[in-house]
Amino acid sequence: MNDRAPGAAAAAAAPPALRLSGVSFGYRAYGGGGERLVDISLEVKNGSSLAIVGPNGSGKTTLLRLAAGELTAQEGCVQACGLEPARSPRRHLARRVAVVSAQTLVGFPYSVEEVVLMGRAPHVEGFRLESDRDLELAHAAMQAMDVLALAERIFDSLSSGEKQRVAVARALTQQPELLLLDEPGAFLDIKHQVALYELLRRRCLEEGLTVVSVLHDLNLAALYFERVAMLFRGRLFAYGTPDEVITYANVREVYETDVYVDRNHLTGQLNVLPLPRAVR
Amino acid sequence: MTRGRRARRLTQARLTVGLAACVVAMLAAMAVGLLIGSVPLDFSAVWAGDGGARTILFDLRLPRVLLAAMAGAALAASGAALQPTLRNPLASPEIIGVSGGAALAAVASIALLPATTVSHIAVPVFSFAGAAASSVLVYRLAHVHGRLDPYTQVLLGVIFNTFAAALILLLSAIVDLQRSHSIVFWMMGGIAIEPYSLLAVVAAAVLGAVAVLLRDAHSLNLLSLGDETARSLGVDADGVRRRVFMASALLVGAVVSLCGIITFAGLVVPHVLRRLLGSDCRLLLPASFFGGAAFLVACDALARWVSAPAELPVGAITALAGAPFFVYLLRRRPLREEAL
Repeated sequence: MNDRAPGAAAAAAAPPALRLSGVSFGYRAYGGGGERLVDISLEVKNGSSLAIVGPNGSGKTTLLRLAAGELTAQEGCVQACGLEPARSPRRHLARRVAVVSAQTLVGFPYSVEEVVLMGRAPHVEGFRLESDRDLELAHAAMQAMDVLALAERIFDSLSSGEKQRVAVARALTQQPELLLLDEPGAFLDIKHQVALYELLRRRCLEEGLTVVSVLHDLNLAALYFERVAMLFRGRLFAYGTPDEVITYANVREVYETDVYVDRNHLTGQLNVLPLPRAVR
Repeated sequence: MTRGRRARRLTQARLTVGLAACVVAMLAAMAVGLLIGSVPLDFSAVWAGDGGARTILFDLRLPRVLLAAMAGAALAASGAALQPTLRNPLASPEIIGVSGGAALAAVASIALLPATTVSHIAVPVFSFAGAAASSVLVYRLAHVHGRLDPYTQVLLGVIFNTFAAALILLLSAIVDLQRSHSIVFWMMGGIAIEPYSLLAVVAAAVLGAVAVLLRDAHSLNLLSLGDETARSLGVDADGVRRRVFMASALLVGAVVSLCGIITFAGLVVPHVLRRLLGSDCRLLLPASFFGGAAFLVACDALARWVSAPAELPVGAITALAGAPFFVYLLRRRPLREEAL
């Protein structure tokens, strides 16, 4: 998402979709120990995209949960769409910020269509059923995520990849301004991975959706995201464009892995390949 | 259920038809309940003003049918709400521990109070107080980091019920034979004939508590997605869980204190209706309310009819009918899909 939409200048005047200033967080208040995030400051403009990368346990999901209002920062300030997530009324926030967590549990025999329609909950008043308009939005999102054919299947009987696509369709149905995703491509095959990130990029460019996603695949981060935040031991180790962040030296230090960083001859984008021990 | 099992979303038409069917089932069960008994009842005689027939209908059968309907409705509605709240399809109203406290207090009052005061007023009063005390206890203990934790809640409920059962056994072992018999009979659960004034109080409590549950019906669907996702969809997950707990405690407390322990109604009715009508709590909850009423009224009619003029405790009928049926349900649908 390196090229900006024409309307981007106007969007820049509004409060940024996500802003963290001097945020520190530890799970002490929740019974855990240690600092998980230390002094994180970053800003994601409206209609742009941010990939959060870093090794396991570096605080990526914690950062996402702070943005979603699931956790409250002990220091510093978090703002999502101009609201303080942890202090805003839930419904109010839910109309603007959607979250796709790493896995979705259901446990009761809801159909795929029912699960996707749950995305309309913040917009449906009280006891009313979903309207035709709600159904239209749900079907459009299901079409986009290639799960429309599964509409009447029981959610729990789907494969992990199908469940993940349904979860994204549910979040799109919510019509958020800011979409927070935790490894949305983890169980997807290459076709659906590309389809997902292409779709997210299009929504950014055409509809001004802001996407913040935790990601393990550095190649996809480089290919589809405007900005990359690299976390290391709870600190913001590097933050900038993919070219600035995903370098041999950074990856080497943060992941303790030797990689081969190159440019794709076709796209000019970064390629990151792990090096087997034999050739180091 | 097989992997290919399908489900449909809730539409206005399905909501209307599903609810209407459950209401019809309830009314049919109530009509049968009014007709069945040790004496055959002739509606035309009641209409004609026959004093004996009127007494049987209005003083004996109707209050009993009404109490059975309210108890069944209360248990099934709270089961339907507790299952998604605790994210456990095997949850039943008993699981929150309130019935254990109610039973213990009732048994203690039968065992320890002087025989003359053991009227059918003292036992329910003690029992309801026991239900209230145990719900406060479980509620306070089930908080983890300021949130009502579903897993802790289930475990505490089970432990509390087991503890109460042990004390009940102890009490029934040390009292004389007659009291011990009363305890056994109370524990099995039965529908008694209560005055209309008391029924009105119970009706108010049941309707109030069910109204609280209904307000959160859509949120209960979302809670199935997990607390975090539910919150991201605008649900105050902790608030819903608190309200469902309080309302269920009131429902179970009211039922157990008047009818003793009636098992399976709160577990089987929502389960069966979920299969017939789908998982959407906006239909399942009110459907369980009417379906539960139909189920318990029918069981009570059966209890009076099977060995008339003697009668069986209704709790025994619900357990006898419910347990095998439940095993059948579990065997038909693999646990993998059923449990979390």
